[in-house]
Amino acid sequence: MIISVEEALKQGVENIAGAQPRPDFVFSSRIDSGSKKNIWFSSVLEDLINKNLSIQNYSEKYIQSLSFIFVVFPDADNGVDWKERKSYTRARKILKLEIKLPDYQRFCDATKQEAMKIMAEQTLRGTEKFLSKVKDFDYPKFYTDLKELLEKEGIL
Amino acid sequence: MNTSVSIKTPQFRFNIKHILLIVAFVVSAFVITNYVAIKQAAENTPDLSIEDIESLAEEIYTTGGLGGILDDLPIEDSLIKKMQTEIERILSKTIDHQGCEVYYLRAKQNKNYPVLRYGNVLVGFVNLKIDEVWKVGMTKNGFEGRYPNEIYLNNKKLDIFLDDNDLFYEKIYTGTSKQCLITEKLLIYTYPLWCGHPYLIKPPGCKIFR
Repeated sequence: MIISVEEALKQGVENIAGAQPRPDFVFSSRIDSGSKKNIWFSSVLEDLINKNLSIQNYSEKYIQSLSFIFVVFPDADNGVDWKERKSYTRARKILKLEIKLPDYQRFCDATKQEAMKIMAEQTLRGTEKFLSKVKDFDYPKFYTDLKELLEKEGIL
Repeated sequence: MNTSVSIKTPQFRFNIKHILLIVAFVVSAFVITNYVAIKQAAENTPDLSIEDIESLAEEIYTTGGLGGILDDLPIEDSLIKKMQTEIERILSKTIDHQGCEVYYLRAKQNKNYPVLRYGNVLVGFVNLKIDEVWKVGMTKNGFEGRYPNEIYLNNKKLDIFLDDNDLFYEKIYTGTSKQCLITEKLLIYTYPLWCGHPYLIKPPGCKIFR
């Protein structure tokens, strides 16, 4: 049922989508229906990284939240053209990286462990591609910490 | 010899226990009635899949007309008429771009999501579960053209900011602009039939029926 704005506020802003500060690291996606089954496991990566890493250790003031957005479409997709890119929202200090997962079918058919590995590898690749030259970001430290964490957890 | 027998019955006194009993009865009756009504509504609601909608849209697109195809949809007559008029307007268009797509914005978290109305008015909130659809949309300019700032909602009054942290984009259909507009229209109008929230007349993130 629809609840009023007052009722929603009474239930607490923590229960309202978009009303809470963003986590340091966000994993999201732009997908088609075929890849949805495995993309859910990106939330495991999101939880893991947020529990173990802090954005403040890598950026002093310009980045408060870093988003990894997996783009997963078949190579022969006839829809809109998707490209890898990075974008920065100055007002909210959010840096977003759109990372295209290669080999669509392999990802769709992967087991949980394989899918997590693909996403972890592509996160590292995207990090290298987009973050290595970003000012106010300690890329070498972040890359090392992230890789070590993923290896320690047996994902890589 | 007169004998009289008197029986003394304790005087009935209405106390707090009786009040609680009545309240409990009224609450139980309310809950049961609601449960039965919702169950009945859920049972009567036909299962409509994206494939059903796609084949309906395909039929409309290829035949170039409605021909009563939508008449049996279990939604209000006024809405069916409105939808028919809008689809006829789409069909009468001469331009039909290639490379368009219909998409869902799906909830990424179990939370209260805004319900919007024309003019970006916030009507209230609805509790969505992870993966439930907040918005149905169509784009011919790609994601970047549709959401250049990658922001799905920015309500400054309540400081609500929906972006990739709250929703994810799922492409569900690729086709020409006419095909996509028809599919989008059907999905929006039939939302109460497939979304799991029969009391909503359209997706909460859609301000209007298009």
